[in-house]
Amino acid sequence: MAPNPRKRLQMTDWSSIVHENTPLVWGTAWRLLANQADAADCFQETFLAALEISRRETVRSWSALLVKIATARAVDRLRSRLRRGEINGEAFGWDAIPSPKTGPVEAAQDRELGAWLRRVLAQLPQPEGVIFSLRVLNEWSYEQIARELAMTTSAVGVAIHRTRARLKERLASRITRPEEV
Amino acid sequence: MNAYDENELEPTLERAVRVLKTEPVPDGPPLPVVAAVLAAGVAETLNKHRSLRERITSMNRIAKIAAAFAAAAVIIAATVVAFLVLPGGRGGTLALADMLKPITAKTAKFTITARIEPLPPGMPPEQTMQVLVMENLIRQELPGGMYQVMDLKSSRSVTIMPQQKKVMVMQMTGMRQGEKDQMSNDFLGELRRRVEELRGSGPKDVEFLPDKTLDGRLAHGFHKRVEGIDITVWADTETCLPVLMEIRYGGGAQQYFVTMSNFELDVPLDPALFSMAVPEGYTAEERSMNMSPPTEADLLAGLRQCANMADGAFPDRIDQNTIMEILKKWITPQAGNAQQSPTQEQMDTMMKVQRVLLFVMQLSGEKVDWRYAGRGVHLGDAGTPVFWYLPKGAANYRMVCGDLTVADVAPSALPDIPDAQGPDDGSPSQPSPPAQAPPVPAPPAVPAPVPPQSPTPATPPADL
Repeated sequence: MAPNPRKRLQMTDWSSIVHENTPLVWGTAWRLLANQADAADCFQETFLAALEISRRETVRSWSALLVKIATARAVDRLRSRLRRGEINGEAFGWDAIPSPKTGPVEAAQDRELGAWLRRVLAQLPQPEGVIFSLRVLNEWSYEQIARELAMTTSAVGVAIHRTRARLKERLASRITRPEEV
Repeated sequence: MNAYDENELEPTLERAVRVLKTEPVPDGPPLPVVAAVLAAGVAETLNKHRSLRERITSMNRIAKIAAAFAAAAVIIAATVVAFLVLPGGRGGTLALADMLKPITAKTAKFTITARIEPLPPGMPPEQTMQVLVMENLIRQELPGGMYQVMDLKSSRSVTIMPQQKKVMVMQMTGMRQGEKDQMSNDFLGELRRRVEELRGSGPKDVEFLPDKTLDGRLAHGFHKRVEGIDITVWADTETCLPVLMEIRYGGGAQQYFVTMSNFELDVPLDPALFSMAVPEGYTAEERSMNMSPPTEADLLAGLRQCANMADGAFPDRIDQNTIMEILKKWITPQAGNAQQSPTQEQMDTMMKVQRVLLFVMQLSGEKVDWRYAGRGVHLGDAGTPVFWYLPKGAANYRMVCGDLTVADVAPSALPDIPDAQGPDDGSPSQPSPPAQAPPVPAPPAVPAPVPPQSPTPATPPADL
């Protein structure tokens, strides 16, 4: 899209954008990263990246742009942490989150499942991890994902289908060989 | 897929997804992070996004948070709340400096407007003049076609009065280099100083005002109070250059408001506008004005002059209004022609009186303790204290009595006069406001003298 210098971002606009989208971006980052420092960095990077984009093109939907960036950045961070061997136990700050479950066994299982899903998302080829996250965590429609990621709807459908299959494979492997992912 | 049926895996996968979706999200992000993001928006607005972002993202986490906290003061206060005080730090200065550029213009054109509240009788509600600056030359265009050109390097001015076909040439004498420099900074220099002052301030020293639109341009507002003077600068969000400076000051009952606006910086100006040559057909009158630093001798001479002008009574107070009233009463009977320029003798007399005020202003500027108790005292009242002050570094006060004798007095022996005027009592601790000039004859349009080291708001000429 062509830059529109006459529609330069005003400070008051930006303030509104930040305030309106803070819960959304923070929630997106947190759900994937489950770590205060990482989520904070992701939050900041997301807004700064969006700001940079807004200099080049007109932003149709700030919410969509921010969620897309936040998801991509969060998955990137997950991958980095995975490479550094940091995705485990305390690094995710589990203790900081009170579990909504009442049963300790179920709560432990849920934590384990959540950690597993994050690890797997970090291992998925890009952009599958992002597409899947946008679909299942943010409940975006295929059309919305396709529009925001400049893909066809069918390509989005294929990616999601493929991701589900991969995840189930990993899940099956985990159940049979729990030492693996 | 091993031995597991896909139907068994699907619910587990859905459960994993549900865990991530329904997990409680802690409050966040931390305020400094939000502040950093908001500050980046300020920088973006100001076309400085990249540099600020680089600075923020390249900092370590602690520095980032510290900077962001301070930077937040700028953006949050500017956009969300009218007043926010945060602990000082480089970050705030950084952000403020980004929002307000220094004035580097060599030429400028702007408007100065002055008013007094409450309005003294006979004064117009507002007085305005156009100012043009080219390096050390200043041209002030006053209502009625009169204008003045000042060469601040040579401390010389010419005032052109087209209606009378007259030129008043004024030479200021006795100025030290530092004072000349300060004079050279007048007007545009005043704006420069105030902008620099704001740029160098920590966030807790500056009030960030909500944005407002001035002449169709969105502007950030910065307010600072310096030694009793309220200074507000509004800067264009696009250019980061001032579009309006407002100064409010005054002691006692009257408040003085000076605004500088309609700035055109680095504007091409015809050098002929600053010509100090006497136009053909005009008659020139030369005058000089003593601008040397006021001394105790000036105080004594000025007090004597004041008393002589008021049937022997010393002024009730030493402040601009009182001095002006004395001068008005003195000069009015002599004003045969309102358009007539003051003679050198009249000027010397007026200056003698003004230097009392300058002396006291100088003391206040140097934070010297002083008291004035001349109300009801007459010239010649020996033994009646009129004025006392503690010279810098001295152990004893200098006390002036009604007969204008001066003695050294120990602090313990000072008189106890409850209603004596002092530096904290609406004293003339600031330079002369743009108050009314003596009505007639028209005084020369020279800038009000500025005592060294005192706060110096824009000082329009006495005509203003």
